Amino acid sequence: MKKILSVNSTICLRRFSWGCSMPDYDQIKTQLVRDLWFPTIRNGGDILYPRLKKNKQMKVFTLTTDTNFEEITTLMSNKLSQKERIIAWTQSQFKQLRLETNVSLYIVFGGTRYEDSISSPSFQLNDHLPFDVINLDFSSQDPSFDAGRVEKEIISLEKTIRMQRNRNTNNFILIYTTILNSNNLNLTSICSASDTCQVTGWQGLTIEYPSDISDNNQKINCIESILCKISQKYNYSYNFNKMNIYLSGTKIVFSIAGLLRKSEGL
Amino acid sequence: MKIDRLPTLTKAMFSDQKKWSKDNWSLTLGEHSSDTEKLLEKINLFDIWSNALQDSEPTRKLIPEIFLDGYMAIHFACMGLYKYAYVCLRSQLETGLRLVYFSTHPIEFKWWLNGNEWYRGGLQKDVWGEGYNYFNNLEFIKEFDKKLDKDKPLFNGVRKSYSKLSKYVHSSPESFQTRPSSISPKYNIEQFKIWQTMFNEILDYINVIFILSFYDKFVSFPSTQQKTIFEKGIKNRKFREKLKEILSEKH
Repeated sequence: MKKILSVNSTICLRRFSWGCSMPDYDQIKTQLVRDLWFPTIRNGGDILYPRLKKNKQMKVFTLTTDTNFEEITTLMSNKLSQKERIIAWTQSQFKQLRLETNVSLYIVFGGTRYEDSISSPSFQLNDHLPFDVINLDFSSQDPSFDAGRVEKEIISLEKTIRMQRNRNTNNFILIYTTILNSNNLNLTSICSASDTCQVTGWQGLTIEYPSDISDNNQKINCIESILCKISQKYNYSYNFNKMNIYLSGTKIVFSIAGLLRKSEGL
Repeated sequence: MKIDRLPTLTKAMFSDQKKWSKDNWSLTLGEHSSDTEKLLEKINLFDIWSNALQDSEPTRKLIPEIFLDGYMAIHFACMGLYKYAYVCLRSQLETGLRLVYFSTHPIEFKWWLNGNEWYRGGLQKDVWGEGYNYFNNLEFIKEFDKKLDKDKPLFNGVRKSYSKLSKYVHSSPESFQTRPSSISPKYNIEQFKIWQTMFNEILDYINVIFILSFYDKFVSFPSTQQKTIFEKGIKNRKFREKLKEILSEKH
């Protein structure tokens, strides 16, 4: 089997040195789309739909924003998907209105945070799963930077993978993007939340890191490790690429993108 | 669409309304862009409520409507269509009150969704019953009223504002958008300011009523969100002070 993505390779490290506290998100996103997300989806699409060379029509879910939705336009212009097959989510109703107006997608959800909504019995995506591509770009959702934010995102990642698995999805592309800051990453809360999602034969999530991580580079390594373990829990292997964009101060935009494939022999 | 192919009256209306709409937007924003920004920030606060209360079906159905009523009110006001801007505000207030009532009345909510008008009869015309007795009996609204001047309970203000807004719905003479000398919608600085005051009043009421009706949820919000709702969502200083008193007494 051809392996398209190298495991754990960092493809780009770039330092943004704006003095202001608010980074130019649109500029960062453009770089993420160009250098990480698009190549991952294009290559992954060749594995998901090897016979469809010109018009893959992949079903896509993306967390996005009204000021830069390049991932949507890029996928459409490259015939990897089309507007009927893309569902967008933004945490703001104002942005939902703008996305509906400017992108003309058929379905845009807005007004709630994905990571808060996923546990709700009336979760909006329940009727739309599974997807070929899931782009969980939390950096686009006006993150609050309160303690516990990244933990919540990771917990929602597991729930997303679980929902895909429950729909018998063998392979799909998963992208996770977040902003790491000075808040510690608390592994205890992630592990205990993960262990409430039981899987027969799974002994529980164990990660060889301290329970509270303050160093951002260590957080990145730890998140990679968590994602690989969670993938294994649901019988997937996760081959990914990643990208770190250093912002001013202690903030890093961290993005990881790759293909989850059902493990051989399972 | 080819404009030249439109029928005569339609073509005339289309080109005229494009002109006055553009003119009124420009004049309004030329004078009030920072005001409209604040109004938009205010309606964006409904995202906080929407996220916090998303497990309730009435919230999922009614908050987007409340948000869009506010958005359209601003839209109409910027176009110089003040009458309709007021109508949106009444709809927004009414939907906000219904949300509070339905959040603890799921069966009535289902009836209402199906068009059942069980609540009509006698003087009763609202889902929550006669007058505002239902709200006045809610624990934290009672507490809040104790802190206000005795002759000015919260829902006295709501009643007055609602009745002013109803005049626009029912086209009372004082709400007319036309004058003997002019019938086209025009930007008017005084009218905009009066409407803006009403907008702030209604949003104050909705935020205060939500805080008091969903008190347990509100106190579980991160402090940054509580602060945002206080600072951006409630213009009335007295309301803010009294709410802070309740919060400090309870916690």
